[in-house]
Amino acid sequence: MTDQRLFDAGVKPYRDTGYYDPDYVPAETDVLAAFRLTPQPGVPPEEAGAAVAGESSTATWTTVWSDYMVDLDRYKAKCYRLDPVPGRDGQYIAYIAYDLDLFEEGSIANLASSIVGNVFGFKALRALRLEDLRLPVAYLKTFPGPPNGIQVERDRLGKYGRPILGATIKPKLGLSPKMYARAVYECLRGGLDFTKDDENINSQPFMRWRHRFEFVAEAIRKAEEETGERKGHYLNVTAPDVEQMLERAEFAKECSPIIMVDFLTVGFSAFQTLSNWCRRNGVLLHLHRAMHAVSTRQRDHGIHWRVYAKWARMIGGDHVHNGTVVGKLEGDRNATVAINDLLREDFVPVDPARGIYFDQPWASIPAMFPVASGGIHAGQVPELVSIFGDDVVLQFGGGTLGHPRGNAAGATANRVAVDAVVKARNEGRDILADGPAILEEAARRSPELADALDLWGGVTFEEADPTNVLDPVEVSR
Amino acid sequence: MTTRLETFSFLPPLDRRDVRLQIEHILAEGWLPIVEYGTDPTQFLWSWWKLPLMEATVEQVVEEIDACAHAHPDAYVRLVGWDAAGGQRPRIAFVVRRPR
Repeated sequence: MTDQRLFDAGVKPYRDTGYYDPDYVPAETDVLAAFRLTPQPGVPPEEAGAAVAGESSTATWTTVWSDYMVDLDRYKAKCYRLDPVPGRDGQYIAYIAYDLDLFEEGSIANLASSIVGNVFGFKALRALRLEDLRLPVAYLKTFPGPPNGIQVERDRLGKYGRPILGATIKPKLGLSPKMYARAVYECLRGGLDFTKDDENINSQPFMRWRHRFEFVAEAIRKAEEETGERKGHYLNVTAPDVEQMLERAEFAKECSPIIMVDFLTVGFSAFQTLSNWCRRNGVLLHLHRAMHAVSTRQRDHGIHWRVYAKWARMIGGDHVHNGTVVGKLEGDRNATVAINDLLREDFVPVDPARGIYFDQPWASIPAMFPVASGGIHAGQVPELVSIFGDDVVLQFGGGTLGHPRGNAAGATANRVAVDAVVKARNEGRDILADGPAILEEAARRSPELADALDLWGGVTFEEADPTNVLDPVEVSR
Repeated sequence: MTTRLETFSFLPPLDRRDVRLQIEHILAEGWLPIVEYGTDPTQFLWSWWKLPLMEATVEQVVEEIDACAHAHPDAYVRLVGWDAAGGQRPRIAFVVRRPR
């Protein structure tokens, strides 16, 4: 050993330094990730997988002396399995295991910075997508989960045995506070349970937040008095900074039982602060996923929505948007239904046909409502109930506000359709095969539903070339 | 005041056959029927008619609904399906009788 060479300095392949270890058996307490890996031509998949493991844990591009001061074998993430993707030459699912101690308790910001922090820009990779994460029970126990959960929300609202109904007030931008509250009131008195601010309704010059909150509070109060049912409006408290977000939330709790936030654009830490606030204040929290498709839509690169959905449940919202299958926004049916399970069930088993790469226990974290919103209408209720069951929020925006006789009639049409379909299902009828007949039958007693079916009965949204599809099932378990 | 009574209240009032079919559904799902009543349907807690009907048949649930309505003619009567195994929560609740 000379003074010039006190340790084995230099650049080494990641796979030769322990980051690729096909013999590694993951521990129950490991965080596991499944990445869709597309190495650049000429880069072996083992090296690419090891590089992702290395850069998302302990490694940097060259050896450093201080590596020797650390129990690296423990802190190294290990790429322990590589499955070629059927039908996709040069693409692999890389499974990587992370020791629990690599992550701060209760911090999605830390988890995200670690696992998807640096690696997505790697030159050695043509593309990289985080498909799924297995969160171990030990780690989940450090997260609070939804402030209320489905069970408590239904008890707060006194609404059982049917989907919850909502609508987003349109036009998205420009209404004055009082006219906006008028639109809310009409929806609620007609039969909707909730109405909603759109993601980009915050506090613009045409409608400052406090004015909106005050007028909407009056709309809710009046609709509750007239119907005898509990009503709410998701008051969007998304704000320029967390102080203002909390100020709006404090004001909102006197106005509505539920508020909302754009949980991705405000950032995970701001979302977590608001979730904690909701828990302390007994307020329901609705999550809009604005910005998600920037990273979730492309099949080869980004983060699959199912990962964000898990994070949303861990940090804690009571509702989150999760596609409609039948509406205007993209979302594969099997994948969407599987994500409903990730939001609602206590345990979700591995199932490659549904894009679920790991068993996921939920460790008593409460269930949250998936929200189906975007281009849905009364004529689709049989299919929606069949896909989503009762524990869902169905949001008919255009499908309420676009009714030829206005919001209240549109809301009534939706409630009639839901009641009729749920009743028929409980009676043992096949709601898919008999769906049109069930709706027509109900429409004979409901001119509101009859109008809705006349107007939208045949409207469907087909996608010619979906970008975000699941792999054929050959992935070994 | 009102008009709306949550689940199934946007349909014509349920007749005896409708109620029977829903009771069959509740029992088939393994949920516990609970008959409750109240004069103000906006209240949070309604009064229970007896205890949850833990061993009841469809006939017995129908009888208890009738008995409750007979004893409380000025009240709304509601049937709840309680799911002990699937989350300890009501899986359905709907009004089966309105005040006479």
